[in-house]
Amino acid sequence: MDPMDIKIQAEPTSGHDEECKFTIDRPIYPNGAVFFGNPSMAAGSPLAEVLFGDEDLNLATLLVAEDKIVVNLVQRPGIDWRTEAKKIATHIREQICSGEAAISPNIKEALPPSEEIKTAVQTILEEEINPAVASHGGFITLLGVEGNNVFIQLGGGCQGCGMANVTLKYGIEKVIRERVPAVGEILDSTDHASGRNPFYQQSKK
Amino acid sequence: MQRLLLLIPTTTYRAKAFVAAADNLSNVKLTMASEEASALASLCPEYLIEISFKDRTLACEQILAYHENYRIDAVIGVDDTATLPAAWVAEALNIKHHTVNAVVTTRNKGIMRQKLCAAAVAQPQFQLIKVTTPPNETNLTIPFPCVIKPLSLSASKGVMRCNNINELREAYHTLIQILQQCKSDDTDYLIEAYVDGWEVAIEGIMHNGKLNVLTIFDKPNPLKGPLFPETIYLTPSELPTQRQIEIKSLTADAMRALGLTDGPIHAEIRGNDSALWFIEVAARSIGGYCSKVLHFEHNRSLEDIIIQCALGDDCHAVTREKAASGVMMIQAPKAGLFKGVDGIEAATAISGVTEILISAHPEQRLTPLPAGSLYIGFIFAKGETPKQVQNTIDMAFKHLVINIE
Repeated sequence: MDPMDIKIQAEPTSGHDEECKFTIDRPIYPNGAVFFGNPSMAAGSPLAEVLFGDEDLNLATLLVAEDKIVVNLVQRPGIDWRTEAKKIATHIREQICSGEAAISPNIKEALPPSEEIKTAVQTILEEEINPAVASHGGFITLLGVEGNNVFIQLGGGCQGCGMANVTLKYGIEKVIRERVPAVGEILDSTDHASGRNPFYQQSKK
Repeated sequence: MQRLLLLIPTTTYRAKAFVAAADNLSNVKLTMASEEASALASLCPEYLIEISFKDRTLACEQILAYHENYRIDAVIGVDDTATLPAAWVAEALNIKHHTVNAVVTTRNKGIMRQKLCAAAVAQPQFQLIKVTTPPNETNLTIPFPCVIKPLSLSASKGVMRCNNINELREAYHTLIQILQQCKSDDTDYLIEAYVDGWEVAIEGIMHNGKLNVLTIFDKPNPLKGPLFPETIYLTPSELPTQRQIEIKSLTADAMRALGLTDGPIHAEIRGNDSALWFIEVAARSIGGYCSKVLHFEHNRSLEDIIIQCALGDDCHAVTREKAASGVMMIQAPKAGLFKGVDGIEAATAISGVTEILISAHPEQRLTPLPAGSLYIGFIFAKGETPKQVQNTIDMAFKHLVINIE
């Protein structure tokens, strides 16, 4: 494989000189997401090892999810992403060309069983979230857990509610992630268009 | 890590788009503030807060108390009802934003007309009249045809063209009913000279007092009255380059006159072969789901741009994608209970249609203009030229059967 056939788009985060997101034209960690908060967490994951090991880069944190990598460098003046992005892209290309898994399979193996995640999420929904959303005539149903990904559905007043996405992302997700850190994606399977009695109706402007 | 405070009314269409845009920024924490408490506010006090959209003192107290625990770096108001509260709290926190005075001006078309007049910005001739005074009982200085308008409503609600005094008298009574239904506290209403010609919408962002026009939308359907429904928006504009420069220049003049300095703006201008007239501006971005029509380089959405600009990015180099793009806002054709829309599959299958989104809910009561304020849905399309996009949208709309009982 010619490494240059691998297309990588680097996108420095505005307002955060030390951060850059890389989007790769193929999955680098299929069906997975992992956050490396420090170099010690990188052990056994070749891509994380090489990025944390590059002393010129001076990596602070690394997020790898599907086809995306978000790199945070230790804050310092004058980070030039034209140079740094090339180095990181080279590491990513070399990793893909090696044919080796970029992230240790142990990370996925260390995840608790789906059934355990399901029980924990179900408990949170029943004891904390549903009693609260019931005040808006809503309810949240746990449809299932696949791997560490959680599938839920919003019903009653939540279905089609103008604020459903806010409730999901900044309420339900935050609570579940705080209580069950092993949870991967939280996916909403609600057909919001069919909501007959949304708690907050949307207005034109 | 920066924290962005998003003031978002519970009736918004735009929660999903702003949440998605904020999710793209890993070093930004988002706090959602609404005029009603979230059902999960007590479980997530860092992210979901309630703030008054009516009482400035209370809103500032609420936000300053929150700011003591969670430092806020940027403020964005989403939709009309949040623009003023956003300006209040931004001023209290000393955060860059359109000023309170400027936003107050945009929320009252009468004050806006007076300020534009004082700055000699080209606009339709206008007259402000007390709501208690019917037009036939005042010294009318505006020639016919004219347009009667409320000061504070949006989305063409209550805006009617009148060709003679009888039509104007009738329109006045309709307007008074609409103001009562909306519990409006407008003390005056506007009568403006009708401007014959085309209309464009300008989507822009102010940064340090400088206007960056993100795009100009042509409105291809003639808006001649008696009502002025928003229908199709097409971009890029097909007006001659010189005309577009003049439109940008007039918009910038109006922004200076009104004092809008930092944040999104959505303006409307009418024009013909001889002149341009500034119609109005809102201190927010385009409403409803319409922002989905805009895509910018690096696959950025309008919400991405607004957030990045609020966080201090200089958005003056933003470029829209090359493809022509358009949206149709589907108006309620009659009053009644919304039952659904047939033909969506066939309409979506038309080449160039990117999405058909039905936003009305089954059994929702619909009221058409001039009193109504709800779209049934939106048709989005792309193409090589704006004309092609318009044809695609028109073709798609013909497939839709709107069921209202």
